[in-house]
Amino acid sequence: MELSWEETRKFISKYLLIYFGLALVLFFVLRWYKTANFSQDTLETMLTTVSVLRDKTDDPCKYAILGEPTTAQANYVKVNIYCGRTKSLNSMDLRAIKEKTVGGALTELARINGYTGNRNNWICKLNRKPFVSFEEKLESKATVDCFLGLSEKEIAKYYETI
Amino acid sequence: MKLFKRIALPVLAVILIMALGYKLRLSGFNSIPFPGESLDEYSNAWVGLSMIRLGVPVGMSGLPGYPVQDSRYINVDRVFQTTANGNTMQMSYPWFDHPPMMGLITGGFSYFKGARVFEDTTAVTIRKPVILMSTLTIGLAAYLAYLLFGWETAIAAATIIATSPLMVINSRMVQAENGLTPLFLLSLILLWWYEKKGGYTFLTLLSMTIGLAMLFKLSAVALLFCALALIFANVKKNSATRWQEGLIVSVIALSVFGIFVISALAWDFSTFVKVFLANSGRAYGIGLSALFDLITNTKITAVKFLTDGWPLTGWLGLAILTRMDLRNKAWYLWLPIFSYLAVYLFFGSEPFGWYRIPFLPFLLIVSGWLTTAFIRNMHLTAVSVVTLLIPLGINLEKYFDVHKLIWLIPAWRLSCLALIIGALSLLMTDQANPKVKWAVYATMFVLFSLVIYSNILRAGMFTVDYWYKVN
Repeated sequence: MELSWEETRKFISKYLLIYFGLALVLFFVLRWYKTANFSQDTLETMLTTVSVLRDKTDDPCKYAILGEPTTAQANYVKVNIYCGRTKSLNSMDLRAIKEKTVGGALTELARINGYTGNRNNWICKLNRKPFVSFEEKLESKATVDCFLGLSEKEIAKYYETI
Repeated sequence: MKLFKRIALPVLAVILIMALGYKLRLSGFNSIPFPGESLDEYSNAWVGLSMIRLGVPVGMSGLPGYPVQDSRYINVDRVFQTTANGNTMQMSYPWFDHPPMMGLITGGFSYFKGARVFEDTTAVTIRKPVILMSTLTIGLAAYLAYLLFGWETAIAAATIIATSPLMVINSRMVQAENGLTPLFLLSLILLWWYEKKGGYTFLTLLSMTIGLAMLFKLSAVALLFCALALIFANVKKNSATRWQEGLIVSVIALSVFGIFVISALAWDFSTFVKVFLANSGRAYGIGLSALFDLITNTKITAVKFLTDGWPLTGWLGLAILTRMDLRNKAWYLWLPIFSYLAVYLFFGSEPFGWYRIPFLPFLLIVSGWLTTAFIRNMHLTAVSVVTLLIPLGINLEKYFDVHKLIWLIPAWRLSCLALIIGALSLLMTDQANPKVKWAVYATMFVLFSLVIYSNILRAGMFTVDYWYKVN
């Protein structure tokens, strides 16, 4: 098929006319759709909601975050849960913990690992020292240790061994 | 009856081969490769899901230029207990790393299946549409091979693509390359028909296919280069016609890709520009030995290599194909490979195995062509035999690593000797002798069946335990 410049010019002009018309419609539809649907709350929900497909557990030591957050560089915290014979050792990127407190880190860890229980009867230490409350602020490189079923004496003995 | 034999039987064969390919891709698809081995798979789906629910794409990105870069733990498929290696996901929006077509397909499919939050986009859901697309790739490759070389090559190529262990595993991954590859094949088929029949319809469809492929990934610009090269190479047409065809294809293809730019204008054009510039400043991760690596190894993920002999036979066959006078048919194979190669080497970026996916169907069509060389000329039987022995040997070695069959090595040695000497002795025989012809056909059929069976056996070896050992 040999083409002529006249036919080609007409074809392209017709195509571009239709195209720019549709493009304009698309632009306004996308703009409107974003305005109608975007909200920070919905985004937050999409980012943080645990899927119903994921298994949940009442054992806080069943799962742990594998690996180290190397991209966080010095901006990390360690959150360790000791359940007697088992333990869950986690290094977490502090940037991902929205509420930068001990409680915030534990809540986020519970969400990540699928732990649905509470923190009653947990004895927790911040940097091996007793802390006042779960609202205590977390700094970079901090270590939170939480013990289930151990007394203060047993915890002190445990720290001597590690 | 003749029509049935000529068309219906081969079409039925290809459909059965596609069904086989689909089955192999589906077997263990949600566990191999490990979910999270490439977090891009989830990011692609999140882009689509967020476009549907929020009206803007939200995805993972390490590129500078975004106003929002939020570190998050999204423990889909429990990746933080397995493959994520401890680093958080850097979530950005509006996300402009790549055009969103793969996201819309996989995210849209997830939404249709009930996903509403990011953790719902599990591998068992998002990999399914990709398997469908890659099954389509088998059929399209078969059709292209039929147009170029006839039914024998088409069936051989389709069988290889359906069963090659590298293709089977690659075809499951939610990567843009699995979306643009079938479109790459389709664009060549449409160009073939345009050159035969003419008409604005084929030309427009071809151009839109190229534009659609570019909405999967910018590297699909290789399709445009390839189409333009094939158009301009057709010296039967006058220069003015070729220039007009090139202009029409470029205008339509680029305008379809322009939908990405229009969406950027609607969402946040300044971020789009910053990210585009940051994209062009990516490190050249594939390295200067990329071409050597491409031919000599078969990488499948970021770090794993899945040794498969078929692509190598394709590269070797390409060297032969480019020298043959096949009335320009060979151009429909080596031009796409070289076009994508140019883009692959120019873009660089990281040496991920999935960047190589678009090469594979073309290389495996070449493998199919080599495999059936003995049908066109019985003196080339040795070429077909060696073509088949390369992947067979690799498959048997991998199988032997796990199942130590004592008889395998002596059987291999004797069979190779017999096959190669037998093939060479054909140079001294009368090709027209029907007994010789059928003996050769029967032997090659058995050998090909063995190779395909070894492909299937090897694909069946990919369990979770075995995948840990793949390196």
